[in-house]
Amino acid sequence: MNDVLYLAWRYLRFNRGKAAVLVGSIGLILFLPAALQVVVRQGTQALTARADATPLLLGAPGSATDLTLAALYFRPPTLEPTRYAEVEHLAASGLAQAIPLHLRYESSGQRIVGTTTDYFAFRSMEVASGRRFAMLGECVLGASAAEALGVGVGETILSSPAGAFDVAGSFPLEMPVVGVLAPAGTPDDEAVLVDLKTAWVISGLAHGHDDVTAPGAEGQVLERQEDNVVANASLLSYTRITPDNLDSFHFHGDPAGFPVDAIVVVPRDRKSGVVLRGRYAEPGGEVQMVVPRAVIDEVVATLFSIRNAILAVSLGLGLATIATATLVFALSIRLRRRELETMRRIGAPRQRVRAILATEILMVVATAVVLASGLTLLVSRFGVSALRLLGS
Amino acid sequence: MIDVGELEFGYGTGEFRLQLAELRVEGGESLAVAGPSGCGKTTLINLLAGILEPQGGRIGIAGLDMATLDAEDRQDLRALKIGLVFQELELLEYLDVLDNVLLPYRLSPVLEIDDTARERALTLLGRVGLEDKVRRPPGKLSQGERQRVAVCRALVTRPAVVLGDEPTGNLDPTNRDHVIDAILGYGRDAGAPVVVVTHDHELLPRFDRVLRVGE
Repeated sequence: MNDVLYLAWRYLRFNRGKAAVLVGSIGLILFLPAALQVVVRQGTQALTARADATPLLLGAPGSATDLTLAALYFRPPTLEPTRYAEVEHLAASGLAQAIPLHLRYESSGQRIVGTTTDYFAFRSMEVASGRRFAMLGECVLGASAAEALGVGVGETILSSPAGAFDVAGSFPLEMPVVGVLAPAGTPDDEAVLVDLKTAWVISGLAHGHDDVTAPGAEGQVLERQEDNVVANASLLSYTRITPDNLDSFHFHGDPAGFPVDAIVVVPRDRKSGVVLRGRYAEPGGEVQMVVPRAVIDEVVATLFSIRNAILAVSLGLGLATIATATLVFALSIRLRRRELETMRRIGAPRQRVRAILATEILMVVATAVVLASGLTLLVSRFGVSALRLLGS
Repeated sequence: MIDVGELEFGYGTGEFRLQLAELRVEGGESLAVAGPSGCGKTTLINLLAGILEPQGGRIGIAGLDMATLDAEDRQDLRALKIGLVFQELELLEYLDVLDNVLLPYRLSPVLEIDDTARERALTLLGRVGLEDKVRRPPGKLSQGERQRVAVCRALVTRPAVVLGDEPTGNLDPTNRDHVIDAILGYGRDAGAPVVVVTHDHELLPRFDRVLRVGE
């Protein structure tokens, strides 16, 4: 048996180019459906786990999928924001806890999530270092976000401007990092968590500046009326909130009308959930309530149908590859007819010649299986994270 | 010893028929088989090697009657007792010179490779002037060197009989002499009968006897 293995190995080593092509093509055709299966399974698990942990969502009318993907996975929101009054309304109903999410801004590619401290408890988040945000302007980073931004507790990050032509405000806000979360393996790892009011400051709905009514501020005043002071361009808004200037921050307008992109609704009990869903079931209303699991099930069903289509294509490719490999082996044996005849003439039994050829084929297939298994293992370990990175 | 009597062989329904009333080649004796193309010289070697089966008569090789052996036994006989050198017998390109010489040990289940076999292979390669090329692939050898490797492969198992079919065809005189010296030298030293088919009339005087077929 050792001699058979030795001869097969020497043949493959000598013809390493041909062997590598065969191993590569067979390995790839084994790897693709296996990896697809792993990625879809893990992706489905991740999707449904997050959805299962989020009972209900409230947001502006429109695509339920967009609302769910934004609220659960912090995708850029595509729907119009809803009003903060909806949060107050839900809280006042006594039927559910309402956790607002503001998702419009980023910091160097990491989504800034404006919310309340209730969100930490709701997602069972653990602070690995530092503390939760307590003051306007502070932020807490998810584990991956901290790594991506290369900052830790005690350092600061800047919010990215919403756009070059955003003249309404939303200039970068410098935010001190007061905490970093422990890795959770969820989209929260990628988030920059701030208080909802801080998100409103970034959007320009609140700001802080010098007191233009104070004596000595005449140089910054353009026009002083009875109940209103108009400042000139020399008055600069603060770009960092500190204990010294905190009191100068103020909102213009009624916070009830301020925007939130989604509201996580946590019913007190099952009955409250049913009542709430009934209340918001009315079509054409100003808001929609969705059950994330139902939305994600639809996404998963689509994923499955895409997976099945790819598997069908892979099966066809697999058959073509097997046919090609068989042809290569058959042609190779034909080309080696004289060599095999030599073996027979110098005393090799027919079975041994067949064993050598079969071992060569087995070695190629076995190497392809090992290659495909290794790659599939890598995909099962890093595939979903890699896809998440690609998608972000 | 080779002992053939009343041998008959034909391919299918074709007109070619080989008939040989009697042929004996004693141990240590050498026999050249000469004759025109298509007269059956190669067929005779294939019959003696047990590659072809006769339709009549007897073939005795090293004391064994071929008629009593099945295909598997003839295979084992070839591995153990017969050294074959063919003009067209290939070296395996993916093995180096030493591994090519030791190939019968790797292919036959009745032979086992050991240090003695390796030493014998190296000694044979030394005798034909290839001691410094044992790890070379056959692709880097000249035609004459390749044929010398093939001779070493035929002799490494210390065969009781040596059969050659045009082993010196296409070789220059120097290489031709190397190959024939090696084959005949082995036959004499080991007391093995040697039967070689050749078209080269210059070689005939080197053999003890000449059998002319088809003339």
